[in-house]
Amino acid sequence: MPELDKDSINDLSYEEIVVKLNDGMKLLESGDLTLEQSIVLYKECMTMITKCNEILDNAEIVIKDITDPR
Amino acid sequence: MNNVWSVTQLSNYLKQLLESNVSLSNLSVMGEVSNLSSPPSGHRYFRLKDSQNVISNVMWANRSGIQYLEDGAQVMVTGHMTFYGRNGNSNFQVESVTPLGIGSLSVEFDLLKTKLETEGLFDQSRKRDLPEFPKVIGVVTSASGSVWQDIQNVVKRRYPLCELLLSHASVQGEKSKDELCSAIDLLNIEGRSDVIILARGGGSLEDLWPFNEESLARTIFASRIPIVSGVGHETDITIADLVSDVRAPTPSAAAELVVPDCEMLRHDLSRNVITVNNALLRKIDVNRLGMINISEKILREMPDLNDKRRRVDEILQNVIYTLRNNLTSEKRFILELENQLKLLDFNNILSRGFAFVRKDSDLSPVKNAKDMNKSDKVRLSFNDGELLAEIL
Repeated sequence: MPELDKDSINDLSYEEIVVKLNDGMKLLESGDLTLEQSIVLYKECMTMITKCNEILDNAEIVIKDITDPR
Repeated sequence: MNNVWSVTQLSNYLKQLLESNVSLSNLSVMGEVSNLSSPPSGHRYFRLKDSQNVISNVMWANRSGIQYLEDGAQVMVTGHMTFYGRNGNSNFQVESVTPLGIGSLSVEFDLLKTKLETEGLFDQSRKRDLPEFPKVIGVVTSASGSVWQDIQNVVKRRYPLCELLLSHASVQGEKSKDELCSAIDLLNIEGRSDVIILARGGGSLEDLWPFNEESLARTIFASRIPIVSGVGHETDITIADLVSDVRAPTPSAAAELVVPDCEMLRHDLSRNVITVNNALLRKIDVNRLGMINISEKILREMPDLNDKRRRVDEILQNVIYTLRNNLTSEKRFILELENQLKLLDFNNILSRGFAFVRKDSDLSPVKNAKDMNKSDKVRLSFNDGELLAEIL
């Protein structure tokens, strides 16, 4: 089970985090992990959820006109 | 005297004359429909007029294009001339009707729709899924229209995580068809868009017509990027709608379809917190239950220590008993020794009336009388004290 540190989460897009989060939750819910592994994964999932909320809180739309000669 | 004909003879003659005339047997006539009569039989009786003249027409039920007949409609009718003796009128018997003006657009639409459908441009199998979380959204519409503002507002409100790329195109008029195609092509060349919104506000059929052009349909079909159309109002369906991957009823609806809603995402994240909490708690419970089971098993499989404990108690009792016995014997032995010692005790002998005699000179015991001489001084020890004496 690869561990995810905070720095590597910061490099991911919202979509990529959500994909990892869903995978993590499935694994956590499967019950196939040891208690120690479950605790590690639980912390990772919570970190990812926090990061997703941060991304949503700080999101700012970018608007461009690719046909505008300026 | 001229030949005298009956009315029927003349009527039949005129009918034959008109129907045998090659020029009149298969021709098309343009004009405006008036005095339309639609009896329950399904046949249609109407007049076709232009600015100067009128002709009577009849069209039997189920003939092609009969639905385009309505008062005031500009149509082209195809058929042949005939004469109806019962009312003495010549009629144009219509076999098919083709609408002109707006009606012609409708026919063009139907023809193109059938053609493209046959070619597979509308196949559901080629409709692509839209990305769940688009990073870049291309928008093909007019930069100056309210639709562009509406799309910006919807995306800002729902999902401000993305980039909106406007690829401007006129959305009505002569240039529109080519500009719409170029705008889609430009986004495909630029290549960053995850999805394209093709949008235009409501308008008349003629206003929306660029979205029914074949070239635009083929450009949409060729786009590597999925396209969501939002053209006109909900009731307006264009060829562009049919060939797009997803059709939205309006431009704003297209924007809503393309992006998720942040509020829903936050809701999902809250649910995820509950899910991971529950998963971990379940894991802890399973482990706790496992520990309880193991503890119970250990207890079940442990040897009966009570037997051992009883045995240890017995041994201990035996040891104590033995020790006590030994101690009693020892005590008795010591007492005997003590008694024997008492018997040998110096003072005991003195108390019976004996005296212990020692030379005064060196305090050595006097064991024999012959060892003493006259005037020797001796010490006599008694039970209760000592005296100095002299041998006489």
